[in-house]
Amino acid sequence: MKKYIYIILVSIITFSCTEDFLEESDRDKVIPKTVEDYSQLLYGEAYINDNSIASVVRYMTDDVTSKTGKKGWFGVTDKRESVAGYYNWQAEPEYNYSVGIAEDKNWGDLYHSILICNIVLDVADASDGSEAEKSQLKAEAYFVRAFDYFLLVNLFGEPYVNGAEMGVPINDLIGMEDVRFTRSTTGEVYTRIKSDLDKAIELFGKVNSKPTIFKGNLKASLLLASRVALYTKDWKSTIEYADDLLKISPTLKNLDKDYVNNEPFINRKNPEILYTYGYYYDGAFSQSATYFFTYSDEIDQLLSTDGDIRSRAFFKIVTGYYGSTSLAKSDVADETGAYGYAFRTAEAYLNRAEAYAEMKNISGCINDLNYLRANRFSKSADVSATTPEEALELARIERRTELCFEGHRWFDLRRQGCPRIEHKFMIDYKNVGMHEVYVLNENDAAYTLPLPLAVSEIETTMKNIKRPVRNHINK
Amino acid sequence: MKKKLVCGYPFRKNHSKWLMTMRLCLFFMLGLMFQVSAEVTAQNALVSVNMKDASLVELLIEFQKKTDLVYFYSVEDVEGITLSEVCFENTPVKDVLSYALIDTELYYEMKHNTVVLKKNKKLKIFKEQKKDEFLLKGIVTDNTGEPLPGVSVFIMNKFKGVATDINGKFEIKVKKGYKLLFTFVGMKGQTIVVKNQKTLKIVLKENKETLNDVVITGYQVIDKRELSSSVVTVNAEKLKEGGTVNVANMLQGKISGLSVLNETSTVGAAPKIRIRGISSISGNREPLWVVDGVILEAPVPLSSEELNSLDNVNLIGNAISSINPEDIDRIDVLKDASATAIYGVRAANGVIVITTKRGEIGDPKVKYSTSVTLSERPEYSQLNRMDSKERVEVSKEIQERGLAFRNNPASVAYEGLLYDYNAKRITYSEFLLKTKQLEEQNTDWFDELYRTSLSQKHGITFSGADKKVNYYFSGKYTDNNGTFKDNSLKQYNALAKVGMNLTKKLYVNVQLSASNSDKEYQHSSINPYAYAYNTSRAIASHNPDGSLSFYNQSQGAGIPLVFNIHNELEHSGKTIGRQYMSFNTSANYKLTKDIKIDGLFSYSKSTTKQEEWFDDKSYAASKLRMKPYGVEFPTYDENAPFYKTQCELPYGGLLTNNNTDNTSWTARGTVSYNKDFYDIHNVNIVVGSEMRSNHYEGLSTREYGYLPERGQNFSNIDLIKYPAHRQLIQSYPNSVTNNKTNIVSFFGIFTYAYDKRYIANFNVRADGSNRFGQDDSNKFLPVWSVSGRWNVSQEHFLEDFSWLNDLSIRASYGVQGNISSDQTPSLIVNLGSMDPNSGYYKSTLNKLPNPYLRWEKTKSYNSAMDFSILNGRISGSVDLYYKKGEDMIISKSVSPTTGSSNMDINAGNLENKGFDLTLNLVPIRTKDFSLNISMNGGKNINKVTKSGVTTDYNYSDYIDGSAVLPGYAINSFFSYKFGGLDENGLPTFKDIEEFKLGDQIFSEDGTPVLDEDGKPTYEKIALTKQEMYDKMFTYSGNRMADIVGGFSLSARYKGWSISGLFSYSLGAKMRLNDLYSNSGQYLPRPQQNMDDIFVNRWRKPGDENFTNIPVLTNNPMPVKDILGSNRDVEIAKNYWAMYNQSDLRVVSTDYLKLRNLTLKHYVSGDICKKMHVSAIDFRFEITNLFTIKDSALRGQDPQQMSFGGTGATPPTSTYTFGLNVTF
Repeated sequence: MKKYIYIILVSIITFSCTEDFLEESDRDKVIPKTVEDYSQLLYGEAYINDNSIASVVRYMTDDVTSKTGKKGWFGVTDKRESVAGYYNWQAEPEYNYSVGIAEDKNWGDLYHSILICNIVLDVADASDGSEAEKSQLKAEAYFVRAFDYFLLVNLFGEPYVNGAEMGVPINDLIGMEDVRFTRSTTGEVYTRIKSDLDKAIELFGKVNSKPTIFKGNLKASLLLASRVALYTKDWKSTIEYADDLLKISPTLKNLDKDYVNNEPFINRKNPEILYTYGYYYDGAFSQSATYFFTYSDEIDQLLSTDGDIRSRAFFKIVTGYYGSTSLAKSDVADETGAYGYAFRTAEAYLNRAEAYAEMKNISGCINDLNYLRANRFSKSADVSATTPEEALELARIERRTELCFEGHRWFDLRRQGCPRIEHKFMIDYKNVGMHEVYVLNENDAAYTLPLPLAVSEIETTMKNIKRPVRNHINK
Repeated sequence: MKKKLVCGYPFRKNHSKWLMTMRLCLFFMLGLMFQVSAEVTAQNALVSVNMKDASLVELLIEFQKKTDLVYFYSVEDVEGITLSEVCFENTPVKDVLSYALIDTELYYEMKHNTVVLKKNKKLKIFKEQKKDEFLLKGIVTDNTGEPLPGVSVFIMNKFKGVATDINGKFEIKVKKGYKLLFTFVGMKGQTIVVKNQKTLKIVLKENKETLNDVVITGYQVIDKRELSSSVVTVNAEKLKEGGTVNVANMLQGKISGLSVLNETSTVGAAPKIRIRGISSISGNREPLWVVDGVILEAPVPLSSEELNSLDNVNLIGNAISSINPEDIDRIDVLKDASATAIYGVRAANGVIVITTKRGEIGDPKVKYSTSVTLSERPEYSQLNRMDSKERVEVSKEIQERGLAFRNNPASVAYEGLLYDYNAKRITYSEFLLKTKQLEEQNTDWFDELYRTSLSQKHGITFSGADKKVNYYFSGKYTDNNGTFKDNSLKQYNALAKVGMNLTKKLYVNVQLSASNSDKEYQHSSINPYAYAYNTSRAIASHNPDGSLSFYNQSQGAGIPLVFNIHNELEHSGKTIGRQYMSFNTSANYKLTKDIKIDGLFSYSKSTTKQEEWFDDKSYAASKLRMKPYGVEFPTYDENAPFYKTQCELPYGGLLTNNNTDNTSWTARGTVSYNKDFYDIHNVNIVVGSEMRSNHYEGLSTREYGYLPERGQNFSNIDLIKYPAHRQLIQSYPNSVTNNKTNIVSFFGIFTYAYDKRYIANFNVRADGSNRFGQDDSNKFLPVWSVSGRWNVSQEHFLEDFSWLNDLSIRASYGVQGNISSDQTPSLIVNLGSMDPNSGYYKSTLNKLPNPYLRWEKTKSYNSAMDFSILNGRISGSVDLYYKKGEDMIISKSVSPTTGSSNMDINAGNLENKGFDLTLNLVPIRTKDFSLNISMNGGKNINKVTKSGVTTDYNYSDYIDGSAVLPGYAINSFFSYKFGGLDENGLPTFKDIEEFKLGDQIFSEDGTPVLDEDGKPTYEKIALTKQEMYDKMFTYSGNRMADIVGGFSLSARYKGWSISGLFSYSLGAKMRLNDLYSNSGQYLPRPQQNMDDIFVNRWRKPGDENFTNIPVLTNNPMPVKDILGSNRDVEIAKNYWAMYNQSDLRVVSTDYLKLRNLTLKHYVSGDICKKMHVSAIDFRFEITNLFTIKDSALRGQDPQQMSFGGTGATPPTSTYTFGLNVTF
């Protein structure tokens, strides 16, 4: 009988091991439970800071032009291919002019970020953590989601006039589902953005945590709220949000005193940076090629005003064997300690100046502009205006100059009347005079991006922008 | 007690009830058995007696001494009964008693430990009823048909018997129901039950063939006549192949329903194996490998995409790579659900069970075996590549027609001479002379890179056994050299195996195996076969002075980067090393006569180290450095592009290390119960549980600045000075693998046999695992099967058909499930690293919740017939099967708007049907001469019946065969419809307009609107993507063959034997190697060789009527330019890719090849004796001697699974001489 008892004992021991044995044991994976877990997920998946987001917009603006350098040892190199479809406002900009597709990932990346924010907002209250931690997490998720929708509606929605235009879909999913969407109007999208931002501002106000420029915070939310108000022509709110922000954070970097040569303007030490995101790398701007893109003569001229230190801070002369000027406003994170793009206090002054001008408050506008210029010039460079129109024009020019290559210009063009733009496209490095000219007409349909191919392939019923086929005009 | 047991179940309460029931059953059964056994043991006590002319009383006294039994009898009854001979060994008391009492009027009763002998009055009457007796005549032969004289024929329990005469004949008086036992020295005994037959024909088989009458499933050894599932057995002798190292390769053409794909002569590459088609859409399709009852794990975890891709060559090796083929005794391939159910969810693709050798009873034997193999290198012959004259002619035409290259061509070959001439570095006459030299250059790249390789194997085994102990030790050294010069494999194997009968009831087996293999390959950036295939023969590898000749391959920073294949091979490489150790012990305890307990524990550990490197002299390093080796860097300037963005690796090379450790263990306990009731019912029950754990731990690192020639040092690189290097480091972070799979399983096998004629079987198994985030309600899901067998030939009505040796019918049905590892109701995140800028930790998404995902289910049906007639001269089996996979998981693209790009859904249904056929013929069989023909074949029709996601595929999925489409097999591919050449010699394609014609157009007055040619016009309606694809693509076929198999012919004359094994494959299609670059054809680069089919290219208008080879042009022909850019559906990038992927370039891969031809000689015993050895045999083998294939393949190997692109080196012929000496 003894041996049977042994056998039973062994069996019991074996079975009692099984619970531990079947315990999930991967060390690198977790099922998130705490606020901290979700916070790390939000930071890893919803914040966009390791890929370039909406960076193609610069090629559609009047700040960029095509140039040609010299032929390399091994023939002709062309850095423009992947973005030429945008530069030339093609019907399907993802196609480049030889063969292949440079996929537009903005739509997918932004909606992915939205999905993660939705998930986090859905579970934040039920996860383990203090109320303050939960509020901080939710506030960040609202902020990130608001910015996602803001970029989406400005990239893929029609230019805002009164809110009835075609916007982008609103995604309220909290998991994987195979569903199709329809577009909301721009008004509906902006309503969502504003409500998210108001919640973010309220929650950030509550938690009183120590903000960093790498995560959503109160100042950045106020700035974005002011920008959103400006975009929806709500001048009063623009001014109010800007006031709220500038009350707590009025400082600008004084270039005359603080500028260190060769230091990218967008860097961790710059006190006027409220929030940074995105990734700075731009192959098409690289000048070690036969054909490349660079800043336009217009923007060069705007920055060349006597005493304007921004020309040095935003661009730099490259002394290597290509010997030309290149864009140096930002750089990779290793160089700057910050991500490639930034929310800056300067924009609050510019938002407010433009709103004042729109509300016919000339002095309010000019004061803001001159305060900004006082921090940018090595000598007095005050501007003045006699009519609100003049003031508005000054505010817009200052905005274009100050915020160049930071992702604002294309959106500003869209809300400032979609003007006509011409782009030269170099086609022969041996003959710089020879080029093609592409024209973006006033109120052109191409002021809106079409659905990326990856989206239109599946979302076959979603409305799409009909962009005209665009051929160059010979000049 | 019960309470305690419940405490012993620490399972959470939400576990499935099913499991609970199963566990209770297990305990209940254990309890029951213990009770029974306590009583039974005494009665079953075994005794050995050897008495002559003893009285019954003496016998009983003897019994009393030897057992615990107490005997009661009346002295009067037993007096006078004597027994002529009582000779038993280890026989149950009751059997001996039964025997002793046969001719008496006594019978016995047993209760507990008491035996009572009584007189039976009726028995006397019964004894006299002899009228039922009749005379049975018969003949006994061996399996060659030779009559056997002197065979003992006993009537069991009666101790009457006769022996066969010189002609093998016998006569005996029997009654219906008697059991006859036939025994002969060296032969396997046989019993039959006497029915009404008057004559008998008995074939006795040799004892050593016993193994062939059973199948081994890894959990059980089953008598073949009781097997109701589909299992094919191959023994070691049939497996042997000279030059082959991996067992997996040896299976080709030997097992019906098993196909071996992806053969290459690259040493150490593991083939892909598919059993009965493809049973999964997204999951792993490889079978499970089991060695001596233990599942072997792959050395490195590979994703199912990598394993399933027909284009991926697995150099790391598979689970079985570490096993020495010489140690294998037999392989059993489990094919149907009934056979595989016992392995649970992982076995849906079939199971290959390997049993290693063990010592055989007899004197210790030492056997030495060796073989030497010569492998031929690949050659240009049949490959149809241009020679240098033809290639130079193409270059001349390019120049004459003034075709402009897109990028400046490299300064090499004819173009190089043109550069020199234009730059006035050479005169015109020099130019002409050198051109002539080029035309005669004809570099043989295959000779440069390949060799006729010599490989050898040495193995020694030491084995033997007596009644108590059996042992087998083996060691082996393999030195296998690839035909490619940088490819080799060195492997050491050792196996030690000892089995012991510790007591009469306890058998213990301990085995230890170890192996070490070191493989050398070229760096993975180099494909030597593609290089030889694609490189112009007008280029020299060496300069006239013997130094290496470099040419410009690409552009660096202001200077071209140069390349030479020999230099590249010398300064880069790849090694894969693997150590494997496994310890396996099992014990088998006979609790009672009917109940057996088995235990098994196995532990194995393997370490795989992959190392890949290149140094600073290599082209690979120069590409990162952007300067050729030895060129000075420009003066440092932080803003110079060279320093700022270009130079990614200023010094040294790169060393990539990828180490993976695999540790796994298995513990298993089974209880089996096997009992005959009333001689006619047999019940066999096996229940057990198993725990398995498998753990992969790995680290992959990249070390920059590697200087192997300077004592394997690393140079330190200034990260500030070289920001591009910093970025390079950051973009490939080191990564760690750490995953552990634990599985607990419960299983049961229930078999009932009636009179060995009707057999019914039920198998069930449930697995629970520690998979992350799984739904608890899904933790255990049973896999089960039912099967049955009818041994038709055992029926009484077939008794008179003596030519029919065996006829049986089998059928099985089973349900197997599989759950995707993606199924999770919870969100799972990967813990990431800290962001260096912000200092915040980043987690990334591992899996979004996908709670609706269900188990994949495969229902399998198998029905089969086995037969053997004319003394086994003709035997075979036919299996018909049908497998239906339901709810197969398919990864579906979802709208990016949802925030995800793909999700898994249960949308697919998959069907596999077909048959497996095996046939063996022995037309001649005498002592000295025999002829054997065996053939096997399997047809598999694979069809996706529902895919659910057809709209998601784009054109490239149709082209490369990855689209899973309803109505088509998995791996079906499609092609563009070639429409001939146009008047400019450019290709055209049919049905690529993006609209269909609708209603006819009428003008307002009702008259038809006509076009320029006066034909009616129709509305144009845009096509949807699906309509477009349906219209422009034509189905080209399946990359997997429908029918595969093999047949062998072998003849033996005395000590000589010759055999040929053919393998064949029918029904698969492939694409020819690309003629053009798929990214758009520019002119062939000067270093590029071309297919000599270009010689017949279009040259002048009118040629389009004779040739399909387009004109030489630099027109990239983008689809966008030809058809307009505003099309809604993308159909291709350019016309050149379409040409490569058109129906014109599809060929059949049907082949028949002589896979192996072996001549073997067993040296006769007399000569062996003189040489003081016990046996010698030697053999000569040729593999891949010839292949009959479609001439349209233009020299391509039909088994090379490359699709368009040139793949790995195809198999070549090998010649092996082998010798085995047994001392």
